[in-house]
Amino acid sequence: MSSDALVEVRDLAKQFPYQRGPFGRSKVFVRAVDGVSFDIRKGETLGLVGESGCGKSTVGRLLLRLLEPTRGEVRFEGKNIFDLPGEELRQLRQHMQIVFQDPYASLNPRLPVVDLIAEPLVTHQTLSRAEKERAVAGLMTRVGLRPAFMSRYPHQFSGGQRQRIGIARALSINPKLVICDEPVSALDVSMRSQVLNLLGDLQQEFALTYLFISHDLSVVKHISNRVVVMYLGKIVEVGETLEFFRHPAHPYTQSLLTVIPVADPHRRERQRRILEGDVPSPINPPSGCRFRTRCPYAEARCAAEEPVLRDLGGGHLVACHLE
Amino acid sequence: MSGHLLEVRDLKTHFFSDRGAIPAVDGVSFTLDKGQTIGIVGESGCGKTVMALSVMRLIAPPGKVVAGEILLDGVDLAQKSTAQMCDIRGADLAMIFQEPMTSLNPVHLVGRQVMEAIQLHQGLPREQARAKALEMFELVGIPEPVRRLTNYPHQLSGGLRQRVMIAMALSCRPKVLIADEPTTALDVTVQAQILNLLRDLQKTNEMAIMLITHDLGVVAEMADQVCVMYTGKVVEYGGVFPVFDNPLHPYTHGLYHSIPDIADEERRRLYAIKGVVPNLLHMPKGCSFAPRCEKARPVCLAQQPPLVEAEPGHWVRCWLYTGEVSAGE
Repeated sequence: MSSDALVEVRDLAKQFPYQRGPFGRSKVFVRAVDGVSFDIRKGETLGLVGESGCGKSTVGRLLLRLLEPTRGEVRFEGKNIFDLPGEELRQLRQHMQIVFQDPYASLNPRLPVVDLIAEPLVTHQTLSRAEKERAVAGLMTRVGLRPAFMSRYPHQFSGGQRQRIGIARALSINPKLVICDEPVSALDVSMRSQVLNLLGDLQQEFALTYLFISHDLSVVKHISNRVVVMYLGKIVEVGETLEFFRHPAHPYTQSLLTVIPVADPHRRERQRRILEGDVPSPINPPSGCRFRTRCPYAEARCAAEEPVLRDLGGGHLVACHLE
Repeated sequence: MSGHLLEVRDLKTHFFSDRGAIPAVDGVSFTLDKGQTIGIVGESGCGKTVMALSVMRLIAPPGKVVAGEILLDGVDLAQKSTAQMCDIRGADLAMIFQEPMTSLNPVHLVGRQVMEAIQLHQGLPREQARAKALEMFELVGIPEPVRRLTNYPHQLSGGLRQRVMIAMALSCRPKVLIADEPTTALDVTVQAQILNLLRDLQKTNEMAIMLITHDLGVVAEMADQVCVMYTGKVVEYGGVFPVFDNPLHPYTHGLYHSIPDIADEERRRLYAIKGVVPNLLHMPKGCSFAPRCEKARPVCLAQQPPLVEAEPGHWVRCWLYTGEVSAGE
């Protein structure tokens, strides 16, 4: 598409095989991501939102080629990462890093912080011990940790501090793209704002591009320039943050925005559009529009025909038959 | 007596470890009336869950309720025997938890588990208990209730499991429902369904709800009264409108301003409370929030502040508000 895209995702899909029946004889597929296309522009924060099971984390892992896709392309600076042989992929991975949700599970408990933070650095460069420690001390200071603690182990840190370790680790090799997969969801409110502010500061300082994966729309609104909403493996809406929150177009997004709890008791009597039921199974998703089983406006056409993303103007895309 | 449905007075629950006693709940008092909801807010480790378990008398060693009264309809639960508590739990006081999967027995049918509670507390024969369980499933909006009675917990989605828990908790029409982070593990659309269900059931049953959560949004939507906890103590307590309109304690104020507001269109920097929650084994001598507080003065570091009524019905534990009060009295 355009030259300002750092990452171009085209018709990306991932199916996971799932054994069913006695002795796993019948094999079915979970369609976790089912044909998504979007761009991540240089220097922006793109928010990727959706509920559990919508495929947002799978997209994040595909973007780093931590998973092989069933079909589709991810072009990083024009190169399809799924075509690259091992060494070239390794080179490219210097430019893309990930920060995981759970700072308890994502750090090796047997490594001291200095080795945890330096791990990507050591993988990609040859450094002396002194150089390594100097680099780690600089990173720790930058993310608000005391370099004196570099020989400590992860369990000696709080959740918020561990997430800072994860961020320092991701930044160690000056990546261009950082995929943040629910980076603040496991943190308490007071730690959450510290980490969100830190991510904002680092983005400015190092000209980072973020893909910010989250289920929390208020956090996404705060941090993103653009928002992509997924539902059951498909993109239902894309838009610039302000336009998106002012004029949500998809019935799913509209409902989400009315039901987020607001920390203002004066607004508790507002009209909420509460969806009924649960998200259908991605093994056997509904025909046509996947949201139709919960959509208050669904008509015959929605079951027959799958809606494609159409432009409402200004890059605001929606996948819905309704005008 | 007091006329309140539930009154907790100066409750203290300590955990005894090799390194000393940990005051997980350190002098908590509040009241809850029929048909009302109190929101207990605070971050991990502030003692909100331990406080709820203390009210249920479910604290096991090394923990112990060391002081305080828990008055339900004027009768002190702290004085009840274990057998008496078994009758009260489930019948008058019921509790639902954050993760319904771990609170349901994975090897029994969900219908059977709901029937067990009904048979135990109401002494109904099997068939009537089954009819009652079915009625409860319908009440909490479980689709295809007859079929769902014979499902195992793993066959249900997170939202349905929480509905089963609510059905079980409400089957004996408790006077007080303690809901500990009931929607934290659920997606927003399902959270909205469950909160709506609790609101509706409360209206019809006139049940009182103690809602424990870290989410200020959920409290603002549900609660009549708010009780903010920090390191085992109540730091602010009052009606939901005064507390949200005018948060007095620097901690409440900080929490309130550190969450992004979905209605806010300018992207301002989030307020961040500096530092971390102190270790309960090494508590500061004065106010436990003083080391993180921007407004801390020498007195805050030296002495613990009392809980004072800063405006009618709005209580705060902070030295900033003690001057005016003592001068006025």
